Amino acid sequence: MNAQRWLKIRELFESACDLDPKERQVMLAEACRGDRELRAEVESILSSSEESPALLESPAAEAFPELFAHQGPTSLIGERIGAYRLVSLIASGGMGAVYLAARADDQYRQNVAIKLIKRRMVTPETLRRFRRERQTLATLDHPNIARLLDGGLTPEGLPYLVMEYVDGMPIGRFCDELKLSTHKRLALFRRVCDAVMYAHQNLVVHRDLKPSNILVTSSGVPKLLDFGIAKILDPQRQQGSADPTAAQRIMTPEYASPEQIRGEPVTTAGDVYSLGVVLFELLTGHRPYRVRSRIPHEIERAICEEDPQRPSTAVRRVEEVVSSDGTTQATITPEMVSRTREGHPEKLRRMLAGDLDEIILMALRKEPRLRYSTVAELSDDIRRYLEGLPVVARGDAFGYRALKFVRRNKTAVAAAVIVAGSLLVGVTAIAWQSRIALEARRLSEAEARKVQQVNAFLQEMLASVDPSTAPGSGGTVRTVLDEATRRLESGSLDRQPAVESALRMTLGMTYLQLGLHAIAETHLTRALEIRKGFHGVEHPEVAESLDGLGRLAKSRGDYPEAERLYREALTVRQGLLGAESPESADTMNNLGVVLKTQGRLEPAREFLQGALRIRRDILAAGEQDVQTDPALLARSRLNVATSATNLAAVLKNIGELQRAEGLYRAALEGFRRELGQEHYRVAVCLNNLALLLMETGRDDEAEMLLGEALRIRRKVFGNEHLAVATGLKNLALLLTRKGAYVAAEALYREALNLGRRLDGNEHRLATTLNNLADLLVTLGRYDEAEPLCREALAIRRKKNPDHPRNAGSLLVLGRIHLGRGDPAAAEPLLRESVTLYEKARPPGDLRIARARSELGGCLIRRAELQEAESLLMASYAAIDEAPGRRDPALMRETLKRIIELYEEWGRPEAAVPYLRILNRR
Amino acid sequence: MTATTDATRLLAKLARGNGEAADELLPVVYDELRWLADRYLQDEPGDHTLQPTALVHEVYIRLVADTERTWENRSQFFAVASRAMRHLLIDHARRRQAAKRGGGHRKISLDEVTEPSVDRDEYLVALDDALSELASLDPQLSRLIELRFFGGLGVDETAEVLGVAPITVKRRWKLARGWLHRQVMKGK
Repeated sequence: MNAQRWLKIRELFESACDLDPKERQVMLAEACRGDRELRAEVESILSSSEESPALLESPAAEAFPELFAHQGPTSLIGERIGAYRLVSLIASGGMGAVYLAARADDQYRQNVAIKLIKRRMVTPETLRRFRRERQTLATLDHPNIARLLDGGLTPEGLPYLVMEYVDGMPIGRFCDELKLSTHKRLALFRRVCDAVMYAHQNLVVHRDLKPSNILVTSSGVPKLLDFGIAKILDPQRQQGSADPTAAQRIMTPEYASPEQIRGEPVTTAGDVYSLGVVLFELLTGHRPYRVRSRIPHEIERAICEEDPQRPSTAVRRVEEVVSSDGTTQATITPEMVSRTREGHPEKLRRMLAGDLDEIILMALRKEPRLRYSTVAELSDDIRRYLEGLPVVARGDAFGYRALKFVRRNKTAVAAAVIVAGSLLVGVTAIAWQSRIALEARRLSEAEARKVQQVNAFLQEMLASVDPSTAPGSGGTVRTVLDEATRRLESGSLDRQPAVESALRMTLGMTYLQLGLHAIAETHLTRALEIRKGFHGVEHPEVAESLDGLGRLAKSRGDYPEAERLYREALTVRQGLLGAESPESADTMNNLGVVLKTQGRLEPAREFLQGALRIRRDILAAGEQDVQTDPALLARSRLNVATSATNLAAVLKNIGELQRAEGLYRAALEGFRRELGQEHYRVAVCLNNLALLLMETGRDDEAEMLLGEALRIRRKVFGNEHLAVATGLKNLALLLTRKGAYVAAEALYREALNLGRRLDGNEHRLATTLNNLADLLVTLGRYDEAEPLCREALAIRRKKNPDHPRNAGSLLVLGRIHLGRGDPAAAEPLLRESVTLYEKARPPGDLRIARARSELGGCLIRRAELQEAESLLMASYAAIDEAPGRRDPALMRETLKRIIELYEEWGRPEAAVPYLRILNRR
Repeated sequence: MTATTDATRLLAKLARGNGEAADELLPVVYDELRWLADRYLQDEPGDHTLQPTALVHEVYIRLVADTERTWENRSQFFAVASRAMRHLLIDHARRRQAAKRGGGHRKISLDEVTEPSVDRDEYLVALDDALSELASLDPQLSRLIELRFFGGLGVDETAEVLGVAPITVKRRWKLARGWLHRQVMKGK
């Protein structure tokens, strides 16, 4: 049917529909005039419009109520699920229903609660998550957590969970009915915290803590229900879910944290927040936010935007509350809430004002990082309050900024303290043969704190052992590490994935520093797998592992892979921790270094600049506050200095020498301040600054710095160390340039001896050989120079016959022939050298200029004057245009050759200007 | 809330005559509707009848900043919201159909205690197909059905949104019902 025809039908229908049947007949007969088809069509629609009304009369959602009807499994009583028979319905909600059930086989009486998940909630992803999480949840074994006993799928494929049946009442009601005092409420609440801490330690986050999930039995034992269930049911966790926010909101909004409302990943910090709301309500009888409506949107807005009232203020509220079914209204008054608590409103207010206000508000901070970083800290602060000790939250409110800084610098995972505690158990047990047989869960909160510090120390000790900084200790460390590895592989930590993954990270990074790549990879990869399995891809710990693997790839020289890993880690870190977070800065720094190594200077500059800026901001924030932990400040300063040197190296290559110099000097100050005058990193920084100064011709200052660097290296490492060899070579290079040949030779020879004894890297050895040979040629000691030079060339050619470094050896060899008066033998070597350099180096590079200058000198003797002239002129121009007066010795040599050329050519007048330049210098 | 700014921005675009904005707005509204619908059903157990108009209104309030709730925006929004409602209901019906087909043996029906009419899901899906067909013939009529049947709008509101007289809405509503019902039955 075309639209034209349809319009005709519509017109006829509209005219006909209000007529009675008879008039209709007449009207249609006239209007259709023989178009029987048209008439039939209109009549058919007319009759069908009259027979249909019931269905289409009311709106679809009303007409098809079952489309949305609450699919409450109300009639399953008596049905059998697994070994259990459903006895009665306990509760029914949007996700499923909970039944009281008893063992069907009556072998022994055991009441359980069975949670049946609704079909509406079941997706393939839910099922996968269900299977995975079930394993974890089943391992939770704590007196204050309702145990998961069993689980499975009904014949219809609906997941169900069998849980310990808890006969109790919600914590709030329990406290009110027994009229518990504030102190008793706090003591009870701390037992709830114990349970949550235990779960966090096992990497289970509750995600839906609220009074109805915290029951207290008649004997006063709190029991937490539904641990981790929210994660199974929450479709937000689906990878690539199209609509994270809508699904996330299934959580009870009143107790949800701001990040949860915004649909961001929920960590242990979310549980800290929810516990804060629960505590607020327990102590005051009110919710933290004054929201009149029950519209979820309003509640959510308040949670994300409004500051919670102080608990001591909230108890003075007179509030109308609507019950959850929206029918009954009640008024809460100060008298009411104090009657079940402290008796008198003013007494309750005074009890809350001060410490308790601050403790609760700290748990309720919008920004997860500014809350108590663990439930243990929250619980511990309550303990301090109960014992009359000063509380952390109070001091925190006092020096808010300081803490802001401290927290920002803590480990990304909010569960750090607990995990670190477990890690200590792992590390000590492994490294010291279980001499300290502590169990993390038995540690008091105060001890957990200590443990964290001790552990940080241990971790640092293990991780900072670097064979190049601690000669001879490699063997011992290796033994400890291998033993740790053996234990891990034997499965001793199978059921403590948090501990295992953290430990594997430490081990992996330590092996990496020892240069043992394969085993480092095993640990790091496994840690990543464990963490991905636990948290999914989007998690700070996963990012940490990716970053670690990036370092490994970089260390192996697989730069593209390192770049890929760093970029992945950066995305996660920026997304989860913020673009300005210290962790993001760490990865930006690493990424920048890898890009620089690949010669991609512009992007490298961008990332390194970003990292430096963030790190400087963090340092500035920390420095403003007297209360900042000095250790953190120190680390922060070192981070800034590290980023500064990395950026400086890039800027130097780009040619922004002045900025690079400023950065090196600032970094040097930072390193000296934190590490003292005689530290390895101070030496490295001095060295780099000196090389930069050489580029701009400030050789005297460079010499001083290199001398100081060498002195430090000798002091730190002793004389028998490769780091000393590097210092020797750099100083020797400078002395050669200055013409202090004798001193330079001595340094080169010492470096060469060290290299031959200690260095496995032949490449580095070749450089030393070549430089010494070059120096000897300059001194006219060709016979001594030749074997050294040939050795270097052999090493280099073995690796790659076309490597640009070969050019250096060819050049020296050419010079030897020239020095012996054999320009014919020198010519092909020098030509090859020039070609190689031209291929490998950018135009204008002084190495090309030098090779051309040598070749030019050779060609004068071969009477190829024209070609010699063009080579020498090109060489002269390049040296002259180089920034600074980069190589005065080379300039002098080249000028001499030009003058020689024109004298040879019989054109002394052409030599005059060059003679003047030479004399002026 | 980003959904709010999104919706407000898209409505402004729509008001400037940018028809593509409606396509962008649709998923935003759809999500909001779905969530709200779920939420209602969660809050109150037991059999429950949904008031689509109430839902659509609430979505409007939630998504459109109050300063932006102009008359034009309201009409535009309702048109989009009714379409979203249509998608929501039809998706639901299709899913249930698929579940039934794939379900095979069902001994106990755990969450389908109120045994649904198989015909109704099918009917609704067929209706949706017919409506799509109608849209190519007579877009305005198809919009009218969306507003009335899926959005649950009354005659006057529908007239307002479509910019026609209420009497026209009544007549065409009748026409649409007749045509649709016939199409659906034809397909049987």
